[in-house]
Amino acid sequence: MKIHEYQAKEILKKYDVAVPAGIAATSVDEAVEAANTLKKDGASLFVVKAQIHAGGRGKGRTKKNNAKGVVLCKTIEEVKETAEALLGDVLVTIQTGEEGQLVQRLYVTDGVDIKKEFYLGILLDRANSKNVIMASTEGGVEIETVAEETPEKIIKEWIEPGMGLQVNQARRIAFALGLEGKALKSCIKFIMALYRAYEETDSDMFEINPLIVTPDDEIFALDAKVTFDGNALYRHPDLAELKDEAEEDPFELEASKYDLNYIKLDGNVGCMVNGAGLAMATMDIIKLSGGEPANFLDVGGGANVETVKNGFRIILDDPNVKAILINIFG
Amino acid sequence: MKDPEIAEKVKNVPIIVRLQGTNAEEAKEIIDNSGMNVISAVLLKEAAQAVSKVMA
Repeated sequence: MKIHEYQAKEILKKYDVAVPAGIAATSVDEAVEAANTLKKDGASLFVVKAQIHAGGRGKGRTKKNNAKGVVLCKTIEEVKETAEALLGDVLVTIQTGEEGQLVQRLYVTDGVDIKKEFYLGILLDRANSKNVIMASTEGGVEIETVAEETPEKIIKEWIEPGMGLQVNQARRIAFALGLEGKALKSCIKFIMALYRAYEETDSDMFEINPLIVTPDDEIFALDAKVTFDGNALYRHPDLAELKDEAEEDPFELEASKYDLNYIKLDGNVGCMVNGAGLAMATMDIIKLSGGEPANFLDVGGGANVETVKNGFRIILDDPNVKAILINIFG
Repeated sequence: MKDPEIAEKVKNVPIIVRLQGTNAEEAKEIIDNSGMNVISAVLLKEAAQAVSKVMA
């Protein structure tokens, strides 16, 4: 389950992971109020960031006003203008696809000075069955490009299950990033706290890009991308509440209400199958027969008239569907 | 399953049903004799051919 940057930063704050001061805003007035509050607490620069469940916002542009997804503002007036341009417009980034995503919320943050930018991520390395911390001196840019062009610039530390993250591992990472003195100490503390947050929230991924060092050698998470393991939400009701239904695909949202295992695709042949494996084979058959699957739908072993009816309704609501293949093995 | 809303939408969308397993032949007979605009098959290969025909 994805969450917004402002929600991710709230979680990081709870775990004592350093983030710049920031306040979420859903209207121009709220954005101005947020900036004024930050100013009172000492901010001289503000960064206004669109809150959508996708990355690449800094390079993205909105459709109507051509506004950037992340804007550095020097005055309260600029914050107001930026909020006016962003709220209600659709932001297109390299990760949203052509349709883009509607900006309904902004995050107004303290514009801290940046001396260096790094990349820091924590995720599950499935090939090694261990959590891995990845760090790179190439921060603020697309890590996928770094991995492709200069993989040697990515540092990795695998965590032994049952042993947890060792301090010397965090030290190794901070050292490899070229840090020393105060920044080194702060970074070690940051990494230990971040890993604890990742583990305790049962997350799939934590991505801090960029992780910054200020001219005063302080460490901050300038951006935070957090994805929770959906299968663990049952034991984190507080985290489950952070879901933003406006960011979910409406078809999939509808399907989840009836406990239907449904994924929307963009083809023209709908399918309804009992069994995920058989469903995938059915999608292959559809492709081989000259169609494109419009969806994945596993009604499972416990299907009844209601689930089948709702499955049908959702498939038929898709205007692209020209035929439906039902494959039941029982 | 009687649902007027779905029945209306289904008029324009061919449905191919492949049922395989216990009493599959009996199920096919029931569907074929139901008068519904549904193409039924027992073998996945036949269902695939029906999809090809409909998508052509």
